[in-house]
Amino acid sequence: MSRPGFRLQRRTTAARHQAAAVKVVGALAALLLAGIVLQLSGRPTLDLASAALDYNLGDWFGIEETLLLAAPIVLGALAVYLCFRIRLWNIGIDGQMSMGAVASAAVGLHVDGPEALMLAAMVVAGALGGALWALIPGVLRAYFQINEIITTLLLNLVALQIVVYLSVTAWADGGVSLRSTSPIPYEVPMLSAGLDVGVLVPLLVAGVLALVLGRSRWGYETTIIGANARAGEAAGMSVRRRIVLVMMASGAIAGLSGMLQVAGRLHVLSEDVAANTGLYGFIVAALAGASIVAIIVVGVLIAMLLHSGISLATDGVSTDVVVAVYGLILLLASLGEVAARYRLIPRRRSRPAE
Amino acid sequence: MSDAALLAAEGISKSFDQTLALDGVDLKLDPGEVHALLGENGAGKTTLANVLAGIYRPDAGVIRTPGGVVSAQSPREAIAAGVGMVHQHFRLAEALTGAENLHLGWSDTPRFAGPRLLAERTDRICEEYGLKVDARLPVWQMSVGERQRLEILRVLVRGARVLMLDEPTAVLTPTEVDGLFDALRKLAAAGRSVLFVSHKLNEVLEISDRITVLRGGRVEATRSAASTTAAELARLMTGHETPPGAPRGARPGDAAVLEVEGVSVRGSHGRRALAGVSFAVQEGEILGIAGVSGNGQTELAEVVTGLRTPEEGSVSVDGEQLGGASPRRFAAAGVGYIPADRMATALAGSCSVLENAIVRDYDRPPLARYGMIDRGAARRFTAELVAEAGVRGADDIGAPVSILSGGNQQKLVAHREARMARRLLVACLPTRGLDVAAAHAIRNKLLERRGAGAGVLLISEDLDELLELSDRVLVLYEGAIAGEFSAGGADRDRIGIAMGGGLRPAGAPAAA
Repeated sequence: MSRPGFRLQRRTTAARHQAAAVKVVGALAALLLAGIVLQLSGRPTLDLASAALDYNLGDWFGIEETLLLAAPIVLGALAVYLCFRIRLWNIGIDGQMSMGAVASAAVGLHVDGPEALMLAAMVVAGALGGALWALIPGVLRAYFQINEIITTLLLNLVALQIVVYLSVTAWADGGVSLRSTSPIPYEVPMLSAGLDVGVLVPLLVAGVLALVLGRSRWGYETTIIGANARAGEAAGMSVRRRIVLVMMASGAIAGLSGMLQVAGRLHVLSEDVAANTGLYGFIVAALAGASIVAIIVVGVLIAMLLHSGISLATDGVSTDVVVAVYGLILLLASLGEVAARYRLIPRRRSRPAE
Repeated sequence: MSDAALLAAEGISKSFDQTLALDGVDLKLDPGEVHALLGENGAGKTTLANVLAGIYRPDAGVIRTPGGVVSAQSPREAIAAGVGMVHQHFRLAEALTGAENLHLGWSDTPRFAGPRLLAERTDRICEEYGLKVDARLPVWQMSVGERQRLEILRVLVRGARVLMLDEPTAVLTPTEVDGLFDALRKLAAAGRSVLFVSHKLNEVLEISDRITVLRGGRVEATRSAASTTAAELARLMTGHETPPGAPRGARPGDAAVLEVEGVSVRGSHGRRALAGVSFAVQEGEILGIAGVSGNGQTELAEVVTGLRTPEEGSVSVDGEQLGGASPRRFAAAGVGYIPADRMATALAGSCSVLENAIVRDYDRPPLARYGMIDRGAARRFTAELVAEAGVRGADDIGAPVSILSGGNQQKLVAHREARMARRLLVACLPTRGLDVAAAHAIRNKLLERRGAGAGVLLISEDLDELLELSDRVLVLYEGAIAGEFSAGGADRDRIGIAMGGGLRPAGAPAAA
């Protein structure tokens, strides 16, 4: 019965760099798998890949487009990550982003004032809109034990309907566009021809989060509560209030991201505000694990993939392929993460031959 | 006697990562004997039992049973070879009845069987083995002793010739312990072999025929119970003489630190857990609370630390009414808490040793600085606490606290809480599962708080410990105080009877 060869042994702890390496391997395997499928379906994978790289990095325009896509994804991932720290699953980034956009559009469309002041007001309104939208699932979770995955997810649909209602009827443009409000008169300043200052905001938020979570009392309490709420409570921390606050902070980040869309890239409020950012942000946060730096790197890579998908659509490749590839990456990386908890060791003689 | 051994383990070794838990252990179990496996925490007792039960695979070694050589690859194979184990933490389905639990996953269970048939079969089996279990009662309503009998039956009906019990008395009342010992003797008399895993010397001497002492994963000695003494066993277990107890200080003061008056509260299950409990803890006094777990101890500890709000009655610390106040208010009043279940309440397992060490001090100087935490100060604080508590395995204070052994986790918690317990230290089973040296250090810590004028509320099931440390002992039974004893002339038997509900005072509410 004693088989030669190797057996699996569970590790007590998986080293961080091993976990990271396994995820990278998983992601590469997913790309390879997708490439093989494309090749088999009669498309020249290598040509497509080089075209995709060209779209992303070939010229300044490609880089700008990628960064514009990356900014909200990274912000969304940071919001998701903040909730992970206290073991909450915020699936409602899209909704909070939308409500942040609504709040800042309300200010931008209906209040007049000097540009700088108005932009500041829109930032506050956006963050507040997202935070208040996240307050609902936060309170439901903290005080009524209602699962936040369900509530945040469903509130996305409500938020979307509010955006649609406002952009198509209440605040609709007088005929120029059927799907959006009239242009917001205030715009985030530009960095270059295609990039606005908004692309720097994720870096700023990442820095603040790293500082608050890593060094502050607030971050420490949040970490302890996330790891064991009861231990936090016994040590005198207010667990329920913290759940609500973290949810609101997460919503505020998403809302800020929504504001950057209406005052930046889109210039209007429309149902394109969220554009599945929450989904991509979630993928990024899950892949990046517990590292804020990794969130930024993975966020840009995921945005490159997304941009490739959009660009390759002109070559007859469906953008659904990109979503399928995301799924594969997440699946294989998760499998890798499980695998990293084991190691192969040579099978030793466990008993003499009979 | 030796030829027909029911189980013979030779040269068993087992390591976890870098740690060698068992190192060439030999053990032989003869029919008709109760064999004790004695050792400190971390000596390898439970690991050895788990290897024999097929839960862990040994890295080296052979296990022989009458059926031939087995190297059990799973609990299923072990039980097929006649080796069964009753775990320290019962593995019963709480919502199911005794009969259902007994028949769960058993190949002899009739394919189509209603509750009545199962209950009848269970009654017959109980009678056959002389172990009384209510077949129709859901497990969550059973006493701990009854659950244990059910676990033993589960193993026996599956054909176990070797019955292993891991720390079986840890949760029993003295009366229940007597009942268990009778049952084990009968099983041995019927030709079975019982392996009794324990770190309690007196029990081991009482129940076993032979005693194998483990230390550091090796067999230190095997003795027949008749030819050894508690002192010799203690020396074999620890490798040195047991340290003397700390000197007791002056008599308790007159001022009450903690006053509990008429407190009633419901437990998490919604049942009444405390019914009109009143007592006081004086300055410089250790008040022991005896009782079998599940009689309101947890709720009592939670009420006096702010984790649970009393429905009636008042709780005050140094005269300040705090009943229902937040744990933060209790902490500010100088109340520390060593909970019974450290991983559930006192530690965040995935957080680092440092993060767990500073949990009581992070929010005030020198650790707190403008809303931030001074990392240098936090590191110094942690290193100091770890050294003071004698925590081993924490060289890297950034490593998760869950990699420390249970005893070292407990030391960390006990010292952390004792440090901040200026006025009152609430300690639930603070030395449970600890080896002699670690338990000794924690007892000294309690005495040190007492000497410093703080009150100590010591909640324990271990009568020896309670009587050794306490100035007074109260017995908690079904949420009410069922007796008060001064520790000096306390009558162990009467306390034991009170713990079992035999001394219910007039006027106390009956069981719900």
